Amino acid sequence: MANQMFSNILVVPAIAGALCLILPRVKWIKEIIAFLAAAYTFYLSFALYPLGEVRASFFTLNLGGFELPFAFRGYPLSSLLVIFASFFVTIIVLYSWSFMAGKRGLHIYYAFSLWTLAAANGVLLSDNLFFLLIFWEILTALLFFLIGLGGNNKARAGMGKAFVILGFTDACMLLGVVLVALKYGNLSLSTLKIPVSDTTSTVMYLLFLAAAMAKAGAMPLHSWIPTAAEGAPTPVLALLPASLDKLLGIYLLARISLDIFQLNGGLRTVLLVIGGVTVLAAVGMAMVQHELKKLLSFHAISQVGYMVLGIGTGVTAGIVGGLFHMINHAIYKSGLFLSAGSVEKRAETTELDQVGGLARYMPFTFITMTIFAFSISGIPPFNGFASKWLVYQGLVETHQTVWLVVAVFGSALTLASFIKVLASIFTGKKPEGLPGKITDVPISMKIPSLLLAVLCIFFGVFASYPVYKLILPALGYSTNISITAPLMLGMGFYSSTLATVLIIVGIFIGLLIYAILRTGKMKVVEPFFYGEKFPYSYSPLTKEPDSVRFPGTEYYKTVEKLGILKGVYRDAKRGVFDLYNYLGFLGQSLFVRPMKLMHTGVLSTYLSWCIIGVVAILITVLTP
Amino acid sequence: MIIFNYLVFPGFLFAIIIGLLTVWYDRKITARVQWRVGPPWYQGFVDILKLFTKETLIPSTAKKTGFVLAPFVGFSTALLVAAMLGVAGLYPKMSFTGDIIVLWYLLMVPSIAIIFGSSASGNPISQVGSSREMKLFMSYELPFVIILFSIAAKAHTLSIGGIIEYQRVNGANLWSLSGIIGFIVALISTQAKLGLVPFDIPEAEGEIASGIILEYSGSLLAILKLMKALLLYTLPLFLITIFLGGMNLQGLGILWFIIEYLVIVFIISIIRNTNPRLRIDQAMNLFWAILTPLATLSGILSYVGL
Repeated sequence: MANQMFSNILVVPAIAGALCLILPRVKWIKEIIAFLAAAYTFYLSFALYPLGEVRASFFTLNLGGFELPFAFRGYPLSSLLVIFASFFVTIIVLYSWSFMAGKRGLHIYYAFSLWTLAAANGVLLSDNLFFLLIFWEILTALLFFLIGLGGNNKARAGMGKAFVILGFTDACMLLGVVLVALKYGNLSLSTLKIPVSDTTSTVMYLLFLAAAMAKAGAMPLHSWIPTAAEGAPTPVLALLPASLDKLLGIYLLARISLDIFQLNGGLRTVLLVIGGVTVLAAVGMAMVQHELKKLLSFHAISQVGYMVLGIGTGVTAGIVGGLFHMINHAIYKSGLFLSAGSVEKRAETTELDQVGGLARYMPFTFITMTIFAFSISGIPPFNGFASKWLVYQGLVETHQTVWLVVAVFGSALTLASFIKVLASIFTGKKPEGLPGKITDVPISMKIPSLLLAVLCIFFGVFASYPVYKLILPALGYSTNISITAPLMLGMGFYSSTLATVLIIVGIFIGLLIYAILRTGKMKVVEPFFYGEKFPYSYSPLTKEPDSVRFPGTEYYKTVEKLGILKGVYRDAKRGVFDLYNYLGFLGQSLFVRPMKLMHTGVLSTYLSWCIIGVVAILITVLTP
Repeated sequence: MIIFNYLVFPGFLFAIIIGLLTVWYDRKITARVQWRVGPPWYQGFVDILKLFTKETLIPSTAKKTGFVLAPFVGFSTALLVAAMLGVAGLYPKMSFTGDIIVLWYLLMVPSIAIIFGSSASGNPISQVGSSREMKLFMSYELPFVIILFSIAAKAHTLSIGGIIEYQRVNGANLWSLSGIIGFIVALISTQAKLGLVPFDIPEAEGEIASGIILEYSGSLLAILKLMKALLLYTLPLFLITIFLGGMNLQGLGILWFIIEYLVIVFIISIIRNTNPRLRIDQAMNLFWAILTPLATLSGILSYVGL
């Protein structure tokens, strides 16, 4: 029974992915197969969660006396995340129907998306570190090709960078797995318990941590995300860096930090520092970006900071907050990328200074994107607020006032950054360079955004439902609280439902006063422009159509130029804080340069190396 | 009873009345500073009533729904914050809606609502105002957050009631070195939060013609003015709550509360009448380079117990 269930969740998307590749290129066939397979996996995953703790073992791999059982375990947190992972793949495949139509390499795109789902489910459900690592590597490889589907030079740069950073950290994890295997002779996630006391165990933990951080995109291993964002197709961004990679990275972080390793205070501080620095530095970079997808990718990094902070506190409120924020982030950030995709589809650009005034033409995208933006900025009563609030409770409980200030201020900067985004895309005047007739996106692109927006509101207004019914049970606490109950974890108190009701009552009181007292009429007039005629359009003589636009990209010019921050921004733009540049240098001097020296192109040199190799093999084989 | 507290006293209705009376008080001080007589006590009310009878002009460039809805959202959150602070003053031992973090986030919403509304008006001059308001917002929030959480850390609680209780036992937060520095920083931040001179940069009448509220008129402007009046009541009340032990409505406490409130509004009013407007980059430098280190100092001092 359990065996059947586990294998279905992995095999269905895997086979469907293969079908997408091999079936003839008939119109719509791969789209429909991909959607049905993802939706069916989503349906199957629902059956898994109520079962709670289930296990299944398929076969045992014997590597020179070392036994590796290929075993799965329905750990409650895993089962919960499988539901969300399949949900995201389903809606993003649906979104891609229209978005990707007419692009090249579609069969590869759908096949790899489904394989990504299969591999992600494999990571989430594996009970053995070795197989978890294999699925993890498959994900890295798939990500490499998916980014490459962008097909331009930027995409190629993104592929390379992602592969170098993720490959490096995957190697770290491999080393970690080998160390654990050597020392403990056991790789089972459910039975390993390693107290972090000496250097070896600290190193092991840090190796795993590097893999989790790079996947989730925390600093200093973040830089693949912004580079990938410049070239990769938008749905790929919504699928991987925005949602699945966050779920997996933070899942691994949670498992190693809460289950496998018993952390000490020092390592908690490491987590808090990583989290706090990530929140503030990434949001600072996001504020000055002018390209929508790159801006969103910096926010995707910044938000990881909250999750790491939450888990780093080590108290229930913080951990629940971190995990809740991970789910919320996946919801609103994939929504934001999908909205960016809608803008890209219609306006044919995502440069913020080339778009404007789209609210009138794309009202649906405007409303959903506003909801996502308010969620990520943590405006009550949306979902981002509830989870950030829990993280703050954890920080207060553990007396981390400094990181609390950093996190709260980071949230204010996030809001500032999204005001800029909304203002530049949707308000103001439509610039001349945009296509003449802009309409809203087709229904298959609306449904995913609509579902995500509804989830944002539902998880915000009834925040107790996800916290008490999904996350706390997944961590092994049993609760029995109604969904309108206030959140009471740690030392705080937040009644999301009551706050929402009171805000609505407040709006009604405002409207009531307005309705009773208003006697003046409403009239549409020309806007005020210092008493001059408002310049709607310009004479062809001046050739300066945009001179009275105030594009949103102008908003934070002052910040960049402010004396105290000028140098930091200049260094950041030159890549001084990008670990990739240093890693790249290291790789260059360690591997590429010697390789170059060896590849002389002289046949006799190659042959002599071959002979030396054969002799070496013979000696090893023949000596007893 | 709770519903009555939220809706009438000390909640929604009470807050509106006190807010409009405070507007009169502020205008009276302004008048006296300028050697004038000043308006009668009901001036705030009749101003609002007058605005409601005026025509409401909507610019042709506006995104109408957003433009009309924004003032109501801002008004409603200002109302909610006022009610939360009032109710917490009455029953410090209980929380009904949320703690100090909820309050801080809710206090952001009125600014955001105005920014949204002014962006929706489609007027580039208004958008200059929005960008300034947003930059101002980023600058004053940093020192304000530091002060707020160093106080929360001192009392080791996040509930508004808990902070009031702590002060009733240990004496008001203001009466210590860290408290005085913190209070000054918080007061200047409050001045900026209220958008009063020297921080009326987003409105700047002489320069960008009232900037963010440029396109608002008639009944929509009336709602905005009501919101500003509510904030003029709420923010001093917030300062009293975190520095002076909150609204104490028993015996002599009422008198003390009224005196504290009047003094704080008096200081705010005097500052606004005796200072020229700063430029936005000057304001950002003031908050990030001068007040933030001061706030940090206050936080450290309160940590070591001074």
